Amino acid sequence: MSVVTLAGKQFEVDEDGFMQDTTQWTPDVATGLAKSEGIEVLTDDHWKVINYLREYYQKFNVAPPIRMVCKQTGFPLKRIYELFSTGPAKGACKLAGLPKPTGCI
Amino acid sequence: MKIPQLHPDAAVGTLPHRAKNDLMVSLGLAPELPPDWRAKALRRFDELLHQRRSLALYMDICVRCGACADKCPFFLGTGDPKNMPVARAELLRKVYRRHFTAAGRASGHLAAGEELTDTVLNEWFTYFYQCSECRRCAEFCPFGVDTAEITMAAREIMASIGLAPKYVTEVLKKAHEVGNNIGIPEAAWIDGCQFLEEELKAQTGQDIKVPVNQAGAEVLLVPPSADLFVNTDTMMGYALMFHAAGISWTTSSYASEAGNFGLFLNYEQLKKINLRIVDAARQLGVKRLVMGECGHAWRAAQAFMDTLNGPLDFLEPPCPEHICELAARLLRAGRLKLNRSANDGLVVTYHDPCNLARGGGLMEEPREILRAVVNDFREMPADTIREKTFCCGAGAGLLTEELMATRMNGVKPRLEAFRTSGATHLATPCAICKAQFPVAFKHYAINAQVVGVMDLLGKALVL
Amino acid sequence: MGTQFLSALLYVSAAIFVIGMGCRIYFWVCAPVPLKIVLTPAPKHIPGVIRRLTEEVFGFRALAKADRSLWIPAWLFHFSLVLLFLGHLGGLVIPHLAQTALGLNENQFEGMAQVVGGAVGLLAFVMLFWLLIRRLILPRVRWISTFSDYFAPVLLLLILATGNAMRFMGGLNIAQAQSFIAGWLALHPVAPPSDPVFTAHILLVCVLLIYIPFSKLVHIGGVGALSPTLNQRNNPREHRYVNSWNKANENSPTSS
Repeated sequence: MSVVTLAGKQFEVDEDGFMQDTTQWTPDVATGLAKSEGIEVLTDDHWKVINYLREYYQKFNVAPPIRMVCKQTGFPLKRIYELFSTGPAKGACKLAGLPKPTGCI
Repeated sequence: MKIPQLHPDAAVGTLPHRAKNDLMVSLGLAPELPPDWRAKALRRFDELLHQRRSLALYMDICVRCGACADKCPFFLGTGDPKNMPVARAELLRKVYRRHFTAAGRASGHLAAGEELTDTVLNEWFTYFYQCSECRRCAEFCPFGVDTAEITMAAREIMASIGLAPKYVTEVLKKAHEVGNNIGIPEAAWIDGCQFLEEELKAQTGQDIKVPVNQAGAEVLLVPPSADLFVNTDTMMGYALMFHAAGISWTTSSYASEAGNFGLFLNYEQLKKINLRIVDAARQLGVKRLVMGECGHAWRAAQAFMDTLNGPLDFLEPPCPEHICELAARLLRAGRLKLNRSANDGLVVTYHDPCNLARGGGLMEEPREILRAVVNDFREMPADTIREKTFCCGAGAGLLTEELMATRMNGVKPRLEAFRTSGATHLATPCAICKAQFPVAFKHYAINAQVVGVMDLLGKALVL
Repeated sequence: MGTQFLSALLYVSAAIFVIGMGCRIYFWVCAPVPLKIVLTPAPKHIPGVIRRLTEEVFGFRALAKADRSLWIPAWLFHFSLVLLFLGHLGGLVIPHLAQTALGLNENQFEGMAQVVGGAVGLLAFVMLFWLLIRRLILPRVRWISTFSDYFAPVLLLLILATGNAMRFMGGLNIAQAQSFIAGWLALHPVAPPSDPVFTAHILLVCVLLIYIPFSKLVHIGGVGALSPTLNQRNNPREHRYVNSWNKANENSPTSS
């Protein structure tokens, strides 16, 4: 476990850089973490994905199925990988402050 | 694949993140190494030697002929000599010889015995988590020495003294608390299944159910939860097949996971995870238990469930079945109408998941289905398929970021065989394989896709 | 070397071998096999299992699949060891019975022993020597080798060399050897042949007998057939397999 400082605040993150306490998330966190995913500037398309992930997570306490992310944002999977090179379950979840989805994925 | 030159310690730095105290405690394990961890480990080792003939025999009988050495994908991929199955087993054997044999106690190093030290424990945590328990080495061993048995024993000993990976324990905790490895709660499971029903409606125009917790259904289908989260085409394939065959079925939100990560840690967890499935089948009053496209689930269910959690005599037949067995039977009976041109343009090959081929003998049915639903089916070279299949490189708890180096090395022999097949699609009924291959394809710039067997069946079905 | 010493040493070594191997095998046989871990595809019925084990024990089937260049010398070496064992039994322990059984006269029997025994003795030596060379020249096999992996073949090579020396250089009084062995078996030791090579041969065999139960040489006699990955039937779904240390299947809800 380590601590990162984003927008002047300190956050605990796990070994893979995912926030430990998802309630502390603010948009500044996403902006701050973007660099670690190789993203220079978060565009509207990025935010569309991030916001959907957060919305779903707040309702169900888990990340949404990938197919649902595509459907709800209107982006094909290819576009989501362009936005987040490590994919919806990794990079996108990290920026949205979700815990890292694990299992056989 | 060409036998690599030896690169001692090439893979020494790749080891799993350790599980933290709360995770360990939640699984009834010691939170951290106690001061007397050596004595505790040796005691557990001794117990296992008396509980498992496999371990006792395999500690003594190996002659180090080296027949297994070049059969392991992780040795072929890394060149690290400690990844040769015989050398991996020697990590445990040297401690066995020092502490449990007359020769070792008397002469120590002359009998190639070694004390259990911090260094040895670190070697164990490294190299027993660079083994995917795929059992390919055992296939070629003149004594049937099964490194999976040795790896499982070593992991069990380590877990008993407070040393286990974060990935495996975290997944087990979620399976106990939520019902599946990804941690999809009941409400989200139901929502996800409804979403797939809408998708199926949009695709076919028909009302095709993806049922949850339907008491009295004929079949309880237990998929890997990844089938709802990412491999949704596979989940839709199940639904299409049951619909076409007119079989009532259900999933369970209590046992929404087939994959048994207990196999990667200890017998106690293996048994507990299996038990959730048996309990769900009993509660829902189903007649048959069908396992979805998941490799480790199949070994845990087919070979172990009746022993660990049985008798399963409330089921008819009184044992788990595999979705590919069921589908192949329906095809043979003419209960599924097919239009295989729906899969035209695809060149498909089949990757045998280790636990289906060597752990359960399920090799014909998936091929039978694929030959029926695609026009261009090709095999990979004969020494890399069926019981000689190469692991995807991520089985048995290796499918995690920090072990990426191990994974990308371990997949090399499989990819080499895949390249020679000329296929565009690699079909495989295992969620771990399905998660590993896309990463490997990207890493090695291979333009191909991974699909499930049921995905292709679903697409070819005429409703 | 005195009659008493050589005979006594041979008794002690044989006892250590028999008791040592007996204990090892007893422990393995008694150790429970909690789960079905057979390597599939595997036979569902006992005749199929017997066939599989026969192929493995007598034909080294898995080794043949793994590496032909290892299988050929390994199989020839073990095969010639079995022949040498039978040859010693027939030529030295029960010579009259063996001679009658084969329908040969004394000269023919001697001649056969000379030709076949000599050829097989040489074959065993050459094959084992090649296996040792292979261990030294293949880097991956050299890397995994321990002291025991060199000690065992060197010991066996010396035994084979002393045996072959007696065969090819003559000098051994066969009749004396036969009466030494007969006396030893009857627990009435008589003087061994005075040939120093014979004495060395017997001393080395004593070392081997003592060494076997405590080393990798416990793999003799087909004990690999005890391996559950090879000897189980693949029928966990047809017949419930019971774990002998958890028969009651604790934690199971079947009672509830």
